[in-house]
Amino acid sequence: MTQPRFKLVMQFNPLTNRLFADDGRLIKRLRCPFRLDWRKLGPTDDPTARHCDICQHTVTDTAHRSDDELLALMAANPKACLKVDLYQDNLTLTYHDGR
Amino acid sequence: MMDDDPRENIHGLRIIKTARTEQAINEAARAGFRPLVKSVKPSKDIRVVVCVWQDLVTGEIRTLCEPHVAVPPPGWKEVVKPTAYYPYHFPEPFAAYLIPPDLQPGERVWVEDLIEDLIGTTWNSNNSRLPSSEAVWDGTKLKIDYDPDRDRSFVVG
Repeated sequence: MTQPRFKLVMQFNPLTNRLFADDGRLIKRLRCPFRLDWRKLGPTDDPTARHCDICQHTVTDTAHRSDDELLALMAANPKACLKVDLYQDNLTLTYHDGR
Repeated sequence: MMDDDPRENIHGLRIIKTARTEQAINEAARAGFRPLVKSVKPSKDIRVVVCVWQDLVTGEIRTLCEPHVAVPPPGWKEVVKPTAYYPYHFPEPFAAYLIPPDLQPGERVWVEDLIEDLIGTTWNSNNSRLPSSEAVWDGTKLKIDYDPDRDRSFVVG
């Protein structure tokens, strides 16, 4: 009997704030010293990203990106900032880092 | 993992380290830091809920961190119903903030590893710890900057 495969999506560990691709690769550990409120960040040309006036970084909303896109983003700019909503559709939660 | 931040300060703020064992605390004291020792008190508000499914053929299990959104597919069975627990482990029931000897009253710092249990992120009746925070040294203790009313359902970093 063939057992069902669980859908592979990005995983986020809210205990360590680490974001993983569906294959277990680390995308980023999210750490912001300013505890930003996403809703108060300024707009950018990209509707899926906002601007932080404090550190002048663009903060990308992971709800609208695939894990491959995010891995490429972090590879091109290791200091890029991300936003994760624990209720977003393309994410599941884990309490363990890595698979 | 190679994602630890090696900076000595966060945007101009000195980083206050935390020692969580007797050996680490005493080594820091000998190095000139003043350990501010505190009890590690797990908060009843910090909890996450999991359930466990088991593959009826292979016996392998899967832990579900969002048990309210799914039922086991054919071939799987819930073997542990949704259970709340405190998900953190600390080596000792005490820890210490390592205060630099030249830290002045009124100085704002970045506390890298909070000893106090404060709610950091909230989702579906789960609460995780706030790992780090700004604080102000008042000469005898660190006053943690904490806003309990802030929206905690998303994380930026």
